[in-house]
Amino acid sequence: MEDFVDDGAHRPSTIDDFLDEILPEELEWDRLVRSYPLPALALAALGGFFLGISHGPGIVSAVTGYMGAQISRNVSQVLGQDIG
Amino acid sequence: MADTIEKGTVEGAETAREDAEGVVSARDRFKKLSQDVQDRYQQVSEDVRRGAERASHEIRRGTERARERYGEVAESARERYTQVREKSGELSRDVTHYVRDNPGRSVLIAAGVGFLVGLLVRRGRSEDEI
Repeated sequence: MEDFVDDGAHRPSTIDDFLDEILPEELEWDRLVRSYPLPALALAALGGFFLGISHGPGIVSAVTGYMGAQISRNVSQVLGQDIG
Repeated sequence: MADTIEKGTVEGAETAREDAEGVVSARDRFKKLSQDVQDRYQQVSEDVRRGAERASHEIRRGTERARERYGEVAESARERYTQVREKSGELSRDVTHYVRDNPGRSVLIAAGVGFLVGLLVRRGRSEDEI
């Protein structure tokens, strides 16, 4: 497997920041993923698969609840602004 | 007395002549029958030989056709395999480039696909249990 050389063209995105937050700081996931792209994808898919099997419904309901709360908060803000 | 002996002799000669004619006739019939059997035997032998030759010819032709067909199929499979290998190589290169350009997004997409598959598998299992 060829080692990836960072040419500096990559700019961190919101998703990268999110992954930086949820993954341990000492893990250089960005470099690992770019050095071993296909194994990294396979590992991520495997992790997602086991997460879906073990805690799938709980995560789905949590995400759904969060999104519902966000939507209702936004709607309330919009309605409040209109009323105000 | 002499008349009786002469008459008996004549009758005997006549009977012997008739018997001899019968033997000759039977021998001729036997010869004809034998000839017929030989002719039939030769005819059947000839038919069998022709049938065997025809079968051998057909088998040779079938073998030749099968060999040609096998060659065509093998060549086609080889071409397909080469094409698939090239395509998979291109796909792998494309994916690698995309992942190196967008590492975070790629990892999240892969994890999301795995998560959905796991969710479906879990759902399928719980339906089986019900």
